[in-house]
Amino acid sequence: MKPVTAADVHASEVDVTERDLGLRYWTQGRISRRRLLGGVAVGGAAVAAIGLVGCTKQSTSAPVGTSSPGARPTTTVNDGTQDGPPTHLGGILRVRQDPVMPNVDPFGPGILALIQGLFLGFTVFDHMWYVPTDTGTTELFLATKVEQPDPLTVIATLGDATFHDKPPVNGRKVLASDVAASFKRFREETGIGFDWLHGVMADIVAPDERTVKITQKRPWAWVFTSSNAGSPITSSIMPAEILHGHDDLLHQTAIGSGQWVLQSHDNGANPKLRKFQNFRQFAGTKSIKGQPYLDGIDFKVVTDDNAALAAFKAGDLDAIGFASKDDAVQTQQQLGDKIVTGSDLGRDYDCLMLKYEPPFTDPRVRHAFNLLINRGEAIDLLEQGSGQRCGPLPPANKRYVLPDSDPALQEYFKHDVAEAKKLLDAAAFDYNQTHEMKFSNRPEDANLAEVLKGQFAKGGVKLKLTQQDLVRWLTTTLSQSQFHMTCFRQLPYEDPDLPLRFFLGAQGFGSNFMGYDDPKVDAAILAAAQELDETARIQKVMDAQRAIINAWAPMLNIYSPIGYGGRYAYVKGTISGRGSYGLFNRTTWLDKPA
Amino acid sequence: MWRYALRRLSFLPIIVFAVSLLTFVILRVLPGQDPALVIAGQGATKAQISQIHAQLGLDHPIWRQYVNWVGDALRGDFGTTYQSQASIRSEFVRRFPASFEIVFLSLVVSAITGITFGILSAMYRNSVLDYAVRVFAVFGASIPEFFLLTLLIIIPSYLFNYSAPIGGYVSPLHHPWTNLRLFVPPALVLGIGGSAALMRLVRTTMLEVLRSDYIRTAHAKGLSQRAVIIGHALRNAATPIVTALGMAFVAIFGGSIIAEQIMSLQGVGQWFFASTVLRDLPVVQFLAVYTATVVIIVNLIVDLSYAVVDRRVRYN
Repeated sequence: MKPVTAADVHASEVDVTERDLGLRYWTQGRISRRRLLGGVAVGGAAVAAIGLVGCTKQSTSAPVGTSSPGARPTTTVNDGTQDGPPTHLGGILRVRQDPVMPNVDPFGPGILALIQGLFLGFTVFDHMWYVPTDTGTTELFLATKVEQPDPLTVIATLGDATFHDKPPVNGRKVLASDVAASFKRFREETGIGFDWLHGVMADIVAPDERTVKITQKRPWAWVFTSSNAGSPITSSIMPAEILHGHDDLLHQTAIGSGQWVLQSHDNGANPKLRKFQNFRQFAGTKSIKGQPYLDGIDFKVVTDDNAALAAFKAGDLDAIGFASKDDAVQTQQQLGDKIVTGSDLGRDYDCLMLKYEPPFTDPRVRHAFNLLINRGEAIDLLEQGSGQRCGPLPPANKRYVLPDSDPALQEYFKHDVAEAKKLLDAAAFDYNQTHEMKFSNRPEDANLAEVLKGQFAKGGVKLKLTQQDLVRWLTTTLSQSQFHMTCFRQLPYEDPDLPLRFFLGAQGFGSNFMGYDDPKVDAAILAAAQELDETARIQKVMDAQRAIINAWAPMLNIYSPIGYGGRYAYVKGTISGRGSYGLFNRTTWLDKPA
Repeated sequence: MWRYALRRLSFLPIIVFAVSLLTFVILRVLPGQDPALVIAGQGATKAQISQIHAQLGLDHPIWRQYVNWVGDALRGDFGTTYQSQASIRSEFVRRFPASFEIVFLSLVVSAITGITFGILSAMYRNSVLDYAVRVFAVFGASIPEFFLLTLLIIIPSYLFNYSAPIGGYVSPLHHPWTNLRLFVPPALVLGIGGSAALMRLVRTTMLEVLRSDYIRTAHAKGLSQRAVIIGHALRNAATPIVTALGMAFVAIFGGSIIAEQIMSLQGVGQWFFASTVLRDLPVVQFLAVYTATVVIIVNLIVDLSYAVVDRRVRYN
């Protein structure tokens, strides 16, 4: 067996557990110890546990709790084969569902598309391809071949597959026209702003049964990633005939061609998934015969973190995302070798947004505000020391993020109250003015606001905190840029595209939330986005980060939290360290009799 | 009594009308309550929001919207939820059993605990038992239910790795043991919380009654303690107890929202909560009216029960 580090556990979980894809927070508002009430989280959160905790049997030393404040956790990549071939096929994996989906319609309404779309996208629906975070290389799913004959065109050839055997589709063959129709249907939705569909994709057509042709309005190097045409939501393949005029059907069931069939649910709660026996059984690619190994997955609604932990300890759940490091450590101590725990760096990150209006039009003020932020203290206070400072890109984007030694990043992470005051004085900053900072009622946002208020007070900057309920904050304050300052936790994005695009001015995507527009920053971001060569693109992404820092662009990123997860040791064959790709895991098996 | 009951019931539509009107207006007038923003999502244009307003009938004047809602409600059609497009009536029917069971069991726990210990406390005044009951009553009244319920999850888990069943409502007809494991913790917490005030009231009332001449006479006649307490004292102390039970019901009814949330039960309370967060106006409107109706009916039952527990009461 491979040696295991503490990082193993959480790898894939980090991407989509309730801590992560953050969906949890965009949708709900439940109040738990550290987080917002069932908040808007991730439908994927439910799914998260599928790919959860992808390590081999835990080594006795250093399970969780080995990370020190600001330290980078070590992630081990497991591809699902680390435990060898399964000794037991079948069985049902039991995982937590939080939050509850109101229905199973991937199209919403509104921001609910994020919850339902993610849940179904990782389970019931198949995709043409997916890009694991660790490699950045496109892995083929339903597509057996993908070509990019020119920067504006992508041509995919599909393998043989059928839809689930439910009326009115009744297990018919998946056609290229289904893919095209699905993409177009998602483009009609505006609920959560699928930017690539609106801003980059020109068209998608099906020249024949097996061929899908995508054309772009402009070269967009990120086309295959999860922020774009590889989105776990919007690249979901659905039968064309139910995409329009079947709202009732979409609310009641989901029909896809993915590895899991939606067997039942209670209006979105406690969904049961069962193995799709005819899943992608085409030849010519890596054999997936017999996969998924499990018979199914049962999701169980548990809205309270304490109840979830109790259920895990009682053996009613096979895997869990812990609410805190303490929970992980204590549970490991209590259950010993029965479970495997670990941690990984989240792709979500806390940030402070400044509206591009006086006094924040002055870069010296923005720079000063950044100097007033003490990222280390924030990590200690808010995450029990489990986090990592975040530059313009979240640090989990390892292949693209600036190295710690980079002077620009060092400057970004600098905390110096005296220097900040000098800059504010030079900018004739009005210390008598009180600046309103809005934030949602999610605990992580509210706590962050309190910490920032204290840190800014040390520089003589007065903040007035205004808490809003999540829905109002999201739909009005953030989306309509009705703020002077706002702080919140960003969703966990898996490529640099979206985190960088937050700084992009009106370049085909509409203006950013801050109303900020800097030609140099825009040029650097677009240069990276349009660079097709991977090696060159990595350099351009780094240049873009430096440009953002040099301009002191008005979104100041603070830190990424480290998440903790656990699973029973009999859960084998998990995938970890590969981002949300682990949620498509077909290799999990239970090392115990069914 | 029936004429009185009918007269009281005749007020029900008026009160429900007032509650529904008030709720309807408040939900639509308060800022930040536009459900179209939730439905449309982040990227919606003004035109799309207007379109949603039109689809939901929110573009009509409030009075017109209300008239439409009342017309539909009178026909038994309370509309569909914005979130799931499911019929509110069918969703309510699906969720009602869980909420009913929590409230019912909690009320039973509350009544048994409150009345029993209240009587014992009065009978053994200034004894250890009395002090224990009084401390317990203060404890029950002052500790928030969500905290107690959380403790009830954490402590057995920490000590015995025990967890209440998860995965939603289980019918007592199909899995009685699982059902009990699921509902006993919240019923205990809500019931004990609700019993605290009842316990103190029963004690006070019983103390007063036990000092009465007719109790002394009953003892002098050689009646057993049991016959005196149950047959004479409790009967005369029953009126305020029934009132307190009615109030306990309302408290438990409200507390069930938190209990359902913590126990992950897809009940009416959890629905109310989630719908409020997501601006699901038809659901909130329906549940506000439902709550008002329940509270009114419970109060009526309490009033009518006065005549049952105290023959001196006559409703003319």
